[in-house]
Amino acid sequence: MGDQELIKGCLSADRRCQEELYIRFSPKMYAVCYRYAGNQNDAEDLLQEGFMRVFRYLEKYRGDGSFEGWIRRIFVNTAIEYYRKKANLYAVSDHHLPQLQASDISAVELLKAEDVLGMVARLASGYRTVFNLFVVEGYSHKEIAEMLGITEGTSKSQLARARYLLQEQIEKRELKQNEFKSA
Amino acid sequence: MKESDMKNWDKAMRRKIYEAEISPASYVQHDLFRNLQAEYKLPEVQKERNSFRFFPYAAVAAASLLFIVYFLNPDQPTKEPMLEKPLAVQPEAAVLESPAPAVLVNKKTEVQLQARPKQSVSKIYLAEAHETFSEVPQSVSAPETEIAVSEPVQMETQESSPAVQQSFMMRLSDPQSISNNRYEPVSQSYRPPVVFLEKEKERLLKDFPPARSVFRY
Repeated sequence: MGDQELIKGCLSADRRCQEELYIRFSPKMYAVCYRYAGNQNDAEDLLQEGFMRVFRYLEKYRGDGSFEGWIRRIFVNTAIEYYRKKANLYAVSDHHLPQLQASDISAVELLKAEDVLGMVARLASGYRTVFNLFVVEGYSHKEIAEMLGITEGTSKSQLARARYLLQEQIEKRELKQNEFKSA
Repeated sequence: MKESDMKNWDKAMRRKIYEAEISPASYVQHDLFRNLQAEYKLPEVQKERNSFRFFPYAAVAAASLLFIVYFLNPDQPTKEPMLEKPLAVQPEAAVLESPAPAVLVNKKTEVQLQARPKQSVSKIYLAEAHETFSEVPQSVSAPETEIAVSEPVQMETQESSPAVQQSFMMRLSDPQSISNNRYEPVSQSYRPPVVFLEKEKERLLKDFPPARSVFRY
């Protein structure tokens, strides 16, 4: 079933189409929610809330862009609204943060996808939100600042801190693996 | 730190995240999807689910009713073969290769059935069976009370091939194989249907650009 057919069915309250839409997009959108939420319970809440919005505003979809993109934006906005209240975003100094080493990139390549998700999930909600918006979604610091109600400087410092903490986790993991191999 | 290194690092991280998003079933608990779908709160779908939730109770109630009507009712003729079974079924008769099963009838009972047609069949059989068993307490087969009908009754049976029969008998003799074929736990058998468009997958995994540029939002 194509997107247009699916949308038409959902708009006419066809329960099969609604369920099909849910089944088709829920795994992917759950991954998006989990990336912002950092835990299963909150991700589940976000997924539920996001789908309610999708069905509520489906008639407003004009078909200009990708349907998945439209859905994804709803979920990202839902996550941002949810965490704007929770995240305590403040500017952090990035002067003492170590520089990124070239070897860190190859270390990332060796990681499993779910490990990376786990590391992102372990970040504090402020770092995690900015990292997701900048690195994964591709928003600029100016846009992030407007979305989250913070300054661009805060967005930059939060991102720098998030990168540092992720690199630290990757290094620790690498060390553990090396110790395991040598043992 | 070079800007290019930073971008490459971001790209490497993005790649891993896209990989996880494209194959989420590998790390997401399947039970979670099942629960989410069960708690799906759209009114139309909820109605359908309610009817499905009602289904097991209705099935159990119907099965109970059938059991009461057909098996606990003493006037039902379906009870009779159970009474006749110890007398009629010989070990030799149970062999599958026999051309046609011979129907064994209690002669005495047959006569009395004709003489007392108005009485309940099962009551007559119960009385006669009681007499027979009280006379021959140990031996199940009493040859003098049984005769074989001269013309065997033609039964419509669909004989399976010897290989199938052998397989069936082997499964019967191996309780482990039967227990293995029971219901699997939901968490193991459930696989959520994941549908992804190949062109989007290609775009995501080609250069690992930010999601916004792929989906244009």
